[in-house]
Amino acid sequence: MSTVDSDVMVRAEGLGKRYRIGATLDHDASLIATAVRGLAGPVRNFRRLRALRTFGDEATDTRNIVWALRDVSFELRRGELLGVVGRNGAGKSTLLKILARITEPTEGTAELRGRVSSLLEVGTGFHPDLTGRENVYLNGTMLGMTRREVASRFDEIMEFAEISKFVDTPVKRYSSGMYVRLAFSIAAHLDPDVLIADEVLAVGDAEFQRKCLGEMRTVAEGGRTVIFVSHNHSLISSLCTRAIWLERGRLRAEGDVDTVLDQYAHSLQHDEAIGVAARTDRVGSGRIRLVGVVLREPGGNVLTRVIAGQAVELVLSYQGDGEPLGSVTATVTAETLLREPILTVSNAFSGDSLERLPPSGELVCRIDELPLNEADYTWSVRLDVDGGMADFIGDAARFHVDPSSFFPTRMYPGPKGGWLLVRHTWSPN
Amino acid sequence: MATALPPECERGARRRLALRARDDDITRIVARRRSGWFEYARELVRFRDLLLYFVLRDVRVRYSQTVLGFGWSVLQPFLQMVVFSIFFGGLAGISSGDVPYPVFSLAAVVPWIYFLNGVSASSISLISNAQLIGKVYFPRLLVPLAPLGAGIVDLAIALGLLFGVMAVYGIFPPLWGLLVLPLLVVLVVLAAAGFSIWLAALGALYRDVRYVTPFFLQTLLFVTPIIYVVESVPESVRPFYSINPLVGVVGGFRSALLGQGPLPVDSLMTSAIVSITLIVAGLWYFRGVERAMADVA
Repeated sequence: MSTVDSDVMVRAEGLGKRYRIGATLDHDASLIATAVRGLAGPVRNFRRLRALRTFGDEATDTRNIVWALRDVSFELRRGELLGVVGRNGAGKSTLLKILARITEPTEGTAELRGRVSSLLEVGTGFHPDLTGRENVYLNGTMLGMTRREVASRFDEIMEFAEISKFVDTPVKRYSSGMYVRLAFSIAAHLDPDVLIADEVLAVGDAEFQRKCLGEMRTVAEGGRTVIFVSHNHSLISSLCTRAIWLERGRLRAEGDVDTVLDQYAHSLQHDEAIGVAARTDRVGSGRIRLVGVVLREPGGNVLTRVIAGQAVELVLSYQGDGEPLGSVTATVTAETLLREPILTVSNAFSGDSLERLPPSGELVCRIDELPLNEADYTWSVRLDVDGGMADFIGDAARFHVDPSSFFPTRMYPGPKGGWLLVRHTWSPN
Repeated sequence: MATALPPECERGARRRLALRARDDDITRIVARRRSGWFEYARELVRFRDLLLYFVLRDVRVRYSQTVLGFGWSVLQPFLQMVVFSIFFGGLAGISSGDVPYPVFSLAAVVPWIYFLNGVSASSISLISNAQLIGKVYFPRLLVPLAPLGAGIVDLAIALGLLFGVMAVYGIFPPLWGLLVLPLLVVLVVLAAAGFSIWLAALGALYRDVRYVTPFFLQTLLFVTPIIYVVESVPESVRPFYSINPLVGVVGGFRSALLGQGPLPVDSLMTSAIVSITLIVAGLWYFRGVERAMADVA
């Protein structure tokens, strides 16, 4: 890079990252087996733990190896904003972690010009007992600023976060909104040449999100380069100039943002709906797995098309790992095919407890009146067991909503009238 | 009509002006290749302010929500001294040479407690900061070093206690001793760093370290002349005994502050050499582990 075009800010060549899986502690059913393994254990454990960081010559042992990323190359020029899209598990986060130097690639090279700042999580390293001021310095220096640089921007950071009055209050007394605003504000004032950001805008209130978005644009207009991962396609299309699409760790498409998003959305639409049970792009501990999602009439037939305003039951079939299931939280979000979330239902919201469930079975969520307008939708499903994420599947099942006589007049907003229908009345004041 | 720029634009413009020429600074990420030692040192220098704030964080957080706060920095060595004096100096009748047992033990307990607390905290530091390591890049070495920096505050307070107890017994340090003291502090920090870097790196991979460290430190307490005089160790064994870098440090503290015996130059030299060797070898090992830290910690 040093010898060529100085406008190329990021160049990735053949990046790949493999992980070894199955290195978790497995346990035995019987006491005797446990004892036997226990005696032979230390040697085996030592080998296994060592193996976590050494990939010797056992490259032939492909069973336990997954490539989270493989053969990814791209170039990014000064002032370009790159959006990274793809399903869960496509390698987006791995790519960011490599570029941010958090993890090392297994193969390939990357070069980044100038100061690189990464923002993979808002408020990383904030300590609740430290004051706002102390956390700004801690977080700022952690993200690569010097003390003097933080000092010169300190007032600006506080002003942007709108918490100037609480400079010397421990952040544990902050509201979550203040916390997020402060964290983003630090990141926004990093002044990097290359900014690597992961979904960070998915936090805070709408007003602040808008402000952050403006700030990201300012960064790019100032000649900076941004790499941005998000599931929010409208955000990517409004913010980014270029995009890459990752699928199963490989680069599926690269180019102008609208072209790539079109291709991606197209593929999402035409993806043959493989059964949920066979899906591998899941995230979570796997203590419980989603194996089916259907909509049905209350207690009756399965529906593939729903009439707007209809009473429906959402049925989640699950399979546990055999261990007793303590308390399960099911959270389901209806999304557009471009993966914009529309509404979320959860037993955490309704207050219905799902405890001591059988090892496999069904969970039913009754929705008295599905308030969705005419369009295609998909469900994202997340299952938590005892407070830990056990399974998450995006785009788990699609369904179509047909127009209906939702309103007494039989009038209807039509597909361009938005996503939601709500009951309402009018009167002169 | 001239319009004022909205504040956001103004800020953008200001920043554009502030854009410095730093384009020659290129980060290279290459699979399976370590950066050179020079680059590694440069990264540490670049993130030096972060070390300061890690230290600040550890200092501030250590005694938050405790009743006594920094009183613990005094109480911990003081109680240790009382216990040692009653059981070893009193009941067991262990000789403390020509100085009263309480001062004798406290002069060793002060650097020992620094070492103990620093190494204990460092050995688990990478695990307790795993969340951070998975989300943001910075030289990982700063994590185990921070507790050693934070401990210096406690060490300074504990030294105050030592001088107080010495004054009670009418012992005052010679001037040369006070001049040598900073050097002794540097030596105990180096010794702690040598062990910390190893234990932290090993601890990130093998959680066994969490169980091994307390036992190791307890053993080290007895292999260091803290409750007994170094003369109790047979002369023939002493060169090997001095491989423990704390032997020189403790001897140095007693000589420089209590005036007990001449400065043990030989064991101080050994201490420095052993500590620096541990640090250099530890850094080499640490850097190997560091590359995979985000994936395993």
